[in-house]
Amino acid sequence: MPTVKLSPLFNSQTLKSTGVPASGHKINTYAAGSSSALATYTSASGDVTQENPIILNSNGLPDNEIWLQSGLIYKFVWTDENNVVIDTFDNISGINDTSTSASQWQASGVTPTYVSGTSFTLPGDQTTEFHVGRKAQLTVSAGTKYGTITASAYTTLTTVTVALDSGALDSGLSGINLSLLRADHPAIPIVASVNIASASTIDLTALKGDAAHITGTTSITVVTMVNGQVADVIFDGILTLTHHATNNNLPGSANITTAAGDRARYFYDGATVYCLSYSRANGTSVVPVLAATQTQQEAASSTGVYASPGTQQFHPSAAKAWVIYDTRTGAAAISASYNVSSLTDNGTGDVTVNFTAPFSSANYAFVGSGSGSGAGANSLVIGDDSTFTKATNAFRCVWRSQNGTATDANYCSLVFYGDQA
Amino acid sequence: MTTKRIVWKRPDGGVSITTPVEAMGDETETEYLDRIAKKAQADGAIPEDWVRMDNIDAADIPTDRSMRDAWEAA
Repeated sequence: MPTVKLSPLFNSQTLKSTGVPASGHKINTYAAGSSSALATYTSASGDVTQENPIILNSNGLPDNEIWLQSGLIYKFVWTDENNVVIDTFDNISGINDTSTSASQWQASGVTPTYVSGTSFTLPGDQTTEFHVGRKAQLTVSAGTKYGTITASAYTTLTTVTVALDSGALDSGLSGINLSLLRADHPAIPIVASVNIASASTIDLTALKGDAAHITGTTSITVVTMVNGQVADVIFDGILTLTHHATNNNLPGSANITTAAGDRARYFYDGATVYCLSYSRANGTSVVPVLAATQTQQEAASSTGVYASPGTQQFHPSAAKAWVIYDTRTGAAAISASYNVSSLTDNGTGDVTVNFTAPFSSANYAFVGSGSGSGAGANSLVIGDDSTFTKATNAFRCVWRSQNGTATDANYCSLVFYGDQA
Repeated sequence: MTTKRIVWKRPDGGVSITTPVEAMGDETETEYLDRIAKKAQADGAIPEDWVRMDNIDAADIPTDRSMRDAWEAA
């Protein structure tokens, strides 16, 4: 004998539209959403099957109470004595039957009229139930379509626009079910945050909400989750998250020492527990990108470090020193420079540059240019003088004009490339 | 930044004038000029046989360089 629950329908008097008992009217019982007959029972013991259809007596009552099998969902079709359908009630289960589960799609009870591939109209004002954001299941000639209501407006009809997950509506649009949950007041509870004590294995499967605080300072090596679960955690203290390829897959494949307030998002795909992201409370990166060292800059090959202001000059392509000066009046006047300690004016066109940081050898390149004046001075060169010096710490040269005469000039510029010590 | 220049007397009788470029640290102007001069000598920018003279102000250096190679240290 099945466990049965009292039917919420037709156990009280049913009246015709004229107000008299619906004597002779019939109650046909089917499985929900179908035309397959489904038995009901005559008492709480569930040992006697009810007739189907049930014929209402002269008082508009069934001769026996109507009891529904627990765990089953019914469709009731009420007809008159000539089998003309008066009303249909679908998705009915017994009172207090907790073993049944309601469909996530609920019949809207209204008939749509096709307008376009994304819209339809409904009789009357349906904007309350057909509100923006609510999901809809639509029956069309091509099958079943799913979408989200994006607009709903009532004038003489309610015009509804939907954004379908795929495809389009067609002229065979015949029915609409609405999602069980509303978009304006969804029945989704907000669960209070919980604390999980740190341990070598922490279990996130029992998490009631989506996030938890991890308390304590015990190192964590294994995170347990259910397939498909996503969970956010906030660490309240300093502990070590130990990287493991499948049990605790961390960014950078390296252990992480947490700080209070650090947060992480976990996901389990059925094979690997991934720490999808880890954010430091202080905003720094968990796997910091390091500044290039002098050696890395000089090697000019690494792509895993960044050039910092303090080391970028060590790259072979970077100038190691430069200076711009004017020797037309007085002593040489320096306008700007880099890595130059001093400039010594030795005579006409003759200067010595003393570097702040020396080169590693005298095998460095120099480039010079300037703006001269006078005969032949429009083409300045650095002369091959006996005083010419190219040492690791200092550089001495004499500017000469095209005719070989030592020449003072404006905008004298010297730039040096090479390897610094 | 100093307006002082370091003056050197060369063995050939000529004069070289060093303009400090490096920033002055937590030191007096005299200490700063001494540091720049000593570095230049230690680095070979100023030969050992050049004789350091008194520091002079940039404004006291002749502006006319037409006879620059004939300048002498007094």
